[in-house]
Amino acid sequence: MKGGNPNPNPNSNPKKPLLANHFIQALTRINLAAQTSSTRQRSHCIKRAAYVSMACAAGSRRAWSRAMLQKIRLRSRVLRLPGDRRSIVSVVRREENRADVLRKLLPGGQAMEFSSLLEETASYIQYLSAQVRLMQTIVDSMFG
Amino acid sequence: MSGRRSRNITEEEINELISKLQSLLPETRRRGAGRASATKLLKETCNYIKSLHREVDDLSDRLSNLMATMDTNSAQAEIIRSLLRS
Repeated sequence: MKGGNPNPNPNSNPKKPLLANHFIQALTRINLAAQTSSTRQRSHCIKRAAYVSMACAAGSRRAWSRAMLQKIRLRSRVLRLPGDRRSIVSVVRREENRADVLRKLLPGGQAMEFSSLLEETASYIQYLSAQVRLMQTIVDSMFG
Repeated sequence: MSGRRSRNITEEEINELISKLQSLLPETRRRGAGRASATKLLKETCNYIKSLHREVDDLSDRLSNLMATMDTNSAQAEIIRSLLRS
């Protein structure tokens, strides 16, 4: 389990090609459809592609990626993505179980056994940070 | 801790939880080792995930804007070039 290292060297990260492949292909499709969509729409498509890439790269090995892929396959037009601005932010009461907050953040988190919650969190963070690094790399290179 | 387990969590499991959570966070978010509580670390982990979600949001916006300012072919070339650089 590689989850112990929060900042793996990107160049030695074996999942990176999978992640990049899928995301790059999606960006290409989005780019070609550029004329018909607004910047905001395109931003949402890009964001969605980011999470799909993560889920595809992780495949069915992880509960969080299975949960995400399942949601995507339902082809919900109003797919609620993590971090959507329209999401209702609940006020965390002092008594609220901290683990419950984590369960809400993690795809499929509500249904997990507590013992697997940590493993899933480690995996999710790993893929999420890899995705962020990938997007940052693309942005940096586009700036020239 | 979540009450979903049918038995009490042992001291050892708590320590394992603490070290595991600590290892998930980048250096800047870690507190002094040994002083952090599991609750605090869980909170930091949640904050970290939220900040990563915000970064994905922000980078999506930036990518979208960049694509808007470039013509299709240039953007295409840059996207592919960036893959080679990554």
